[in-house]
Amino acid sequence: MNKSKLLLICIYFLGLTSFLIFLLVNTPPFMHWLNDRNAGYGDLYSLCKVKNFNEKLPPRFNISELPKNDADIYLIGDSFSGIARDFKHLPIQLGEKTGKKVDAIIASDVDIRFFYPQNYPRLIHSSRTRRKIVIIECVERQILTYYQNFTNYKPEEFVSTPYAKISELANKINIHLFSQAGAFYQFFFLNSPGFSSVTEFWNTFKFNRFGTIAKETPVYSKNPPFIFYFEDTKKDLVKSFYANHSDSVIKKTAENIAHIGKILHENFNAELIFIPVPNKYTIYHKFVNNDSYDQFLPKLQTALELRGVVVVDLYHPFVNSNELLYYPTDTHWNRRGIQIAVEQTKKTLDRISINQN
Amino acid sequence: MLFSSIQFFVFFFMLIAGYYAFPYRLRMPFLLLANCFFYMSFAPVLILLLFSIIVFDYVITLMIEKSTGFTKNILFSLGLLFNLGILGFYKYYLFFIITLAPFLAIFNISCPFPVINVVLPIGLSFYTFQSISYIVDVYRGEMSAEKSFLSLSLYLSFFANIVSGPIERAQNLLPQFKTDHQYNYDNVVQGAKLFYVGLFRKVVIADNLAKYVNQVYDNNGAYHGMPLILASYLFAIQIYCDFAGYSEMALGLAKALGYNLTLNFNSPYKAKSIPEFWKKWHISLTSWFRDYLFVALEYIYAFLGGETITKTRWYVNMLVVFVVSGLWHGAGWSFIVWGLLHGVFLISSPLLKNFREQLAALTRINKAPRIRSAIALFTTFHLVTFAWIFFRSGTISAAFTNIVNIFDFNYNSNSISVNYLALAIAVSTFLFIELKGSIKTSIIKHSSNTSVFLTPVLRIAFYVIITVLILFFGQFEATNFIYFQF
Repeated sequence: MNKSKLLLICIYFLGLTSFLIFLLVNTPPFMHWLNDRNAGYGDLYSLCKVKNFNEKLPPRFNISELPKNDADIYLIGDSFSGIARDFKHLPIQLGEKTGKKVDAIIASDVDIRFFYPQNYPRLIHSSRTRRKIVIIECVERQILTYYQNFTNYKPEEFVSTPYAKISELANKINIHLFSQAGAFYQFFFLNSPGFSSVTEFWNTFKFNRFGTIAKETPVYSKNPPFIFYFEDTKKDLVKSFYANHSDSVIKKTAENIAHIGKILHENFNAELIFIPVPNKYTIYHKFVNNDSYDQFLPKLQTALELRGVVVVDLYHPFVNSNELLYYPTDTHWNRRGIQIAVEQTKKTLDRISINQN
Repeated sequence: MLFSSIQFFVFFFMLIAGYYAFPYRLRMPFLLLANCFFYMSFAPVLILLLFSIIVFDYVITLMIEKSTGFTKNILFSLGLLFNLGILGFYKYYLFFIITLAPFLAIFNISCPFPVINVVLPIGLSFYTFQSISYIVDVYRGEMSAEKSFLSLSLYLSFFANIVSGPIERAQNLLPQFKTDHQYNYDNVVQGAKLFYVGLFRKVVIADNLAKYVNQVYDNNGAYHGMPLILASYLFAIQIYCDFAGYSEMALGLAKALGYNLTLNFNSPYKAKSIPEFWKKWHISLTSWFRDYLFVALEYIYAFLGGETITKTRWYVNMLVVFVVSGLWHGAGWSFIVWGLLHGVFLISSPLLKNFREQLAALTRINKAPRIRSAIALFTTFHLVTFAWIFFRSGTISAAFTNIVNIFDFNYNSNSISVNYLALAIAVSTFLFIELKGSIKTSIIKHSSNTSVFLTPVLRIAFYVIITVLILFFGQFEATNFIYFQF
């Protein structure tokens, strides 16, 4: 076989392999399987793949069923509410602890519409006569992204009209094929069987030789082994620990959240409770540096309370705790972290109920 | 979908395999589909804008070709207005409002235009320029209007050059979509080499230098003296390797599919004068301005009753061309100043010729041509680097702050946290590739014979070293190519 034919065969082989990869990356069940398969060492580890940080974590559980109708508490949360390992999910624990029916929707940053609870379909269709609680749980890094500017979505986008269905389908196609495709491919090559051991070997070698690590986890501590997500640490990001949280930014954000509370009160007979979850870096940056915190969360909490929004304070209990509340190789809280969150929320709910009585 | 991303590799392998596997009649529709997919990866909805330009161009050029006299001129003007209108709205509307509002405020008049934050569609400056050149060529009768909608669509949406050039002339690229490109071993190998060297320039040289440059230039006022001088030199190398790297990758990708794009860079920092620099830097844009804007200015002058070309008019036209070139690079005053500076440098070149000769005679440098060449090269490089300060600083005030701070050696600047090994490798490999002219001749240009500079063993070693450096020091973060913003 001459070299020209050999090259053509190589081209066809690479083309077919790429097509297969393209199909796999765009097959949600496969990507979910891949995600579950790699969850054992933490989401940050699956992004950096450096062996020095491959601490084994408890297995992850999928969220179990929740009551779908006539709940007492409607919880809108991010992955902190949607991910559980050796403990039950936040909404489930909250239901057990308070004895109330909790409905939950886990939103994500690829579709932030549901962080505006007035768009929550089951809440829209719930009885107006019963008083309800709406809880928004949101990690610190996303608060400004979601609430610094108030986004007025059209309700018809959230009910089952053909327009809503087409819009949702177009959004999914956009996410998979275009807007988030780069992240999907990266995840595939870092974590799929056949590639993951090679990338792990290579990344570990580069880390130990040159100290280079994935851009998603640029800040780390070797002792104790701890890695942080880039959105918490990158200085020019609005989500970051280092972002400019000026008084005007905090005021505007608090006003927007308070406005959501007002809409809920007037239209749904519901009271808003806001749970800002501190970033892992906010609590544990002391492992890597002595950078001072600009007190974004305490300031925001004060601003929200001034505007009548009930807030569950997690920052102070977390920062004062001597226990480890987050997994070293994952962005999320651990069993103890969620326990404190549930206790604090329960206390807040009790306080509201006493005040109302 | 950046050329240096995994996503792009998957896309391209599927494209090239499919391209050579399909029979000729399906090959072009397949390529058009791939072009659309590539462009949509940046922002899906903007494909509508691109296709509205293609449809408009298709119709208007057919009409221009069939019409004569006044009608032809009207249709031609309409074609230009449409393209310039889109470019103007997306790229310059906000700049126009921001510039106009303070002027009106002096007379207590509020700005009548609303502030709209329009996002610049990626590659708009490039494909509208291709579109304009096509319309002008048809109007001038230099080529006939394209009858195949498919070919015209391919010309204006070709994935290899749509987002960052080279700005291809229809006369060069369009006919290539009408011929059958069978699989050719030499094309693929040559394309791969071009791509590989371009990738190296981008991810190893440009992106490592960017880390230093960004720390200094993104913190205006925080760095003085040496760090600022070094950052200015490094930016000159960074922007060259970033853009030339992209162009080489584009050339390589196109070549692998059998298409020849225009060489966009030809060792510009080896130029010994500013006019020579512009013959070597972003060649496709420079020639575009020469053939369309400069010539148009001459027409306008002739239309207004002017006679023969005078020196003064040539100078004025040159300044206009370079100011427009600055504006093309970015909607901001600092870009305009950058263009103006180059215009001034360029017209100074012939004006100061006698003075240079006298100085050379006085210092007897004219008897040492090598030293004279070195001085000319040194001066040209420093003039270009000085102008880059305006380009990189973002605003004129920031640029002046930087220029003043360059001479302040007493200030204790913050330390800069970069990987100095990677930085040293970036600079040394840049110098090696640039100084070793034979490598550039054989790899970067369209020559398939790499053996002219290296024996087979050394050639393999060369690519192994490049691979190792890419693997160890390549920056595969999602850093856009600088020229994407234009």
